[in-house]
Amino acid sequence: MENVLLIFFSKELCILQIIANLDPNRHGHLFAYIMCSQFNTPKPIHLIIDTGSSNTTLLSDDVTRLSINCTILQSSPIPSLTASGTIIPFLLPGVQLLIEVRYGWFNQKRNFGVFHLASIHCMPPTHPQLMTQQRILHACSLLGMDVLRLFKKWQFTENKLILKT
Amino acid sequence: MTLVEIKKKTDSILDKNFQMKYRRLQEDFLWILTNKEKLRTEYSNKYIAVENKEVKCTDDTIDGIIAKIKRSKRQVEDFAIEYIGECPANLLF
Repeated sequence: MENVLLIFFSKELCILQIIANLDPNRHGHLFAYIMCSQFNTPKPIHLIIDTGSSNTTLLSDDVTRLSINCTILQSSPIPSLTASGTIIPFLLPGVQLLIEVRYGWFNQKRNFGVFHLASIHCMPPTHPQLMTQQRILHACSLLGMDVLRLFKKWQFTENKLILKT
Repeated sequence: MTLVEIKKKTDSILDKNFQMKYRRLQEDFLWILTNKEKLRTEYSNKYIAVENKEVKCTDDTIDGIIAKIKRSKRQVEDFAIEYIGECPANLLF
């Protein structure tokens, strides 16, 4: 199976849109629900659209809030380069992101697109194999290029970012 | 997990109740985003838990706010939880 799959069923051929809200710095913010192997009921999550991130990544606050147990997760074989140095994230397997999509004539129809990701990155409270502090606090999680590459057209309006397949 | 299993799993969740909950929380997150400057004056350097566009509880740490919500016998998933910084910050990831 592919690393990221968008699962959406419709009787008509259509372009899908997701709409993010822009903050004063013009960053796109998206609200979604997340499901994974560690919990079966979907939990809400606030994501920032981040083309600088290769992978969709849960930062420390969300790892804590979602009660993700990092001790049973495998480490990523590839380190991540961040603005504050190299870190080794954990891999959370079998993740589904539920994001509202618009489609159909004039994009009037709404439904949920299921983005299935083979794994996403988790920033742990602190990785046990590292001496350096890895915890990234006070920031929302990142929707990375693994998902964003599915959207070919990006349109900025005054307060929205519209991503189209 | 196969595609059929993923579809079965998500179909059982995406009912009307889920959609209503999704909309409410989406509005709460948007409310925080658009009212951040106003919230900064009162809840600077704090985590806030918002429900129906109202700040229901605050704490200095994420663990603290989760503990407060659980003590009130509510579910963490019922609230939009965000950190309100002291001043607007630029992002560098």
